[in-house]
Amino acid sequence: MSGGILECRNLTMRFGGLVAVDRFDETLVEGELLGLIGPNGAGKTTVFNMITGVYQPSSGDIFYRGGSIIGLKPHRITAGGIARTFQNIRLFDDLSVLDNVRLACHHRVSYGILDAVFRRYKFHEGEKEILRRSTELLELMELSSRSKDLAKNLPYGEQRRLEIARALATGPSLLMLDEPAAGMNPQEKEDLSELVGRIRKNLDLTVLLIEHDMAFVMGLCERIVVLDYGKIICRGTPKEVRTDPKVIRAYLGGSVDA
Amino acid sequence: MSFGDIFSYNFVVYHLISVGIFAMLALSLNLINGYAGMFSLGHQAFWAVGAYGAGAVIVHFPFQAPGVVVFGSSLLAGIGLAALAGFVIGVPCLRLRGDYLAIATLGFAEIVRILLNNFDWVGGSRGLAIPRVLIEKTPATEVWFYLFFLVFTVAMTGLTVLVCRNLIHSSHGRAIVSIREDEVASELIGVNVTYYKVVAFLIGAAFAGLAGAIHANFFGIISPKDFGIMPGILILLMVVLGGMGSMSGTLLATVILYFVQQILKLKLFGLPSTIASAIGWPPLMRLADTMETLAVDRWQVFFAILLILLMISAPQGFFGKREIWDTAAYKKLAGLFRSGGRGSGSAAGEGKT
Repeated sequence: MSGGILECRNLTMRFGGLVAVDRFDETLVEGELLGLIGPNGAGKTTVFNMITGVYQPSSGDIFYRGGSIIGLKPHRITAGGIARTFQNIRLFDDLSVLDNVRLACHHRVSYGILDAVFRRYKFHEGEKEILRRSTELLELMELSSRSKDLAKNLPYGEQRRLEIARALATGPSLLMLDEPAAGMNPQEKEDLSELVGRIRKNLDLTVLLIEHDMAFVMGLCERIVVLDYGKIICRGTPKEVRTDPKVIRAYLGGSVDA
Repeated sequence: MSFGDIFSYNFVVYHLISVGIFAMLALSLNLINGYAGMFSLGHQAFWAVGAYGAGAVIVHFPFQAPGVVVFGSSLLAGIGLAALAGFVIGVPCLRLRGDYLAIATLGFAEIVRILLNNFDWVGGSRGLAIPRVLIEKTPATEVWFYLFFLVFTVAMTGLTVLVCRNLIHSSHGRAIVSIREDEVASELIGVNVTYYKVVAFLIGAAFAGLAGAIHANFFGIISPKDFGIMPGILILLMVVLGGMGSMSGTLLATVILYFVQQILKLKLFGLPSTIASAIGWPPLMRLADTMETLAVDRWQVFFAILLILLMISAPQGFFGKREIWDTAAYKKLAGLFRSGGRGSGSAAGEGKT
């Protein structure tokens, strides 16, 4: 409609009697970095799950590059260019760091199962390409020295970075980060913020970010949407959002009828 | 069975071929249970379908044809039908996980067994006798028959190992393994989970079918009770004990479990009574006799105790998800070799991936 890369229209998710997300309406413009904030249980992750196809929205529609993606399987949506990370890290714990990233390259693998079984030329070419891409990303995320370690043996901060590396390996144009800074110390947060900015510029990404840490969001995002009890209560620049009484009430509780 | 029998060629070859068949079954189940992480209890069904498919083709072969053609088509029929069965069971079971999948596959295996029990054109509960098509049964050709099947089974076991290895060490194989690790994350990084579940089932079933086809051709007699729950559990134990997702572990566990079971079943090879009668002291002979009777009558009890002890001491199986050459003990051993006998020990870590 308005040339957005992702458009959510009246997106609603009901779990039984609970309306987790109520008529979520938002358009992401190509290249922007949008922050999605809100208190616990506001429905932020549910929005992510609907966009990535994990949940079928109860009603509403999602358009990605003009086409509806409702009802598509998650792996098709990922292949289409939407990648995400998880709030509670979901790496493949018993696989190596390299394999975690290589797996994310799988959806555009250039050889078939029989090529692999017979070790044909196409297999070796394809594997080389996957390895090249993965090593590149590990370098970008400063994880090269760790590539042989099992994912579960990485320290927390590196696991978070590996999740982002894995998401990037799918070759997205829209990257969705679900609380990437959760559990990080201020220094790590600062590094991450710088990293997100860098990969966004280098890889030409549109980013949708969920975050609790206000300072982190304020420093990084150009535009913020605030969710509370499934409803959008405010949107605007970080400055506008920070001073909005409804947002303050949502975060600090109490009434603002003063 | 007397002790001397274990030195005859057909005894040795018979058991080597049996081990090969079990190795194929265990490796193919490892693909489904170990790598894809789908806990199937129905692998004996694919074995049965392969064996009966091959047997039925031989018994009901419509035209006069050279033995090698009949043999070849029996193998293809076994593999094809088992793969088809894998597809048929794989698709409805896709939505099931863990215990539910285990029960569904077990039910499927029982259905197959009961159907075979009632199909008269494959012998029903009497079983199916399969004539030798490749090498006729005469005293003169007997040794060639055994030799051929030994070479063939070893080659096919090798093929199974190679296919599994090549598959697992590829992007497609990694996709299968990622389903075991985290299905949701796997789908969300672009792996078509449904597709790879079916692929794992299909390839696993196809190799079980190959094992069944060899089984039918070599043993020459199959009956539904050969493919009951107990043999199925034995295959499963080979995978679990070896380590789910470890090919070398599965192979090692197959050899160990098969021979432990056979030694018990075959009255400890008659060794105690042979020794006791050589000594010739009556109480000792009675003791030896009791031991042998217990072994053959109660082998399942010994087997169960052995397994309980093993699972307590090594709940992950021998090697967990790793291969032998990835374990610390192996590396230590290889290191010892290298530092100890320079030159001679350098082959220890070679040829392994």
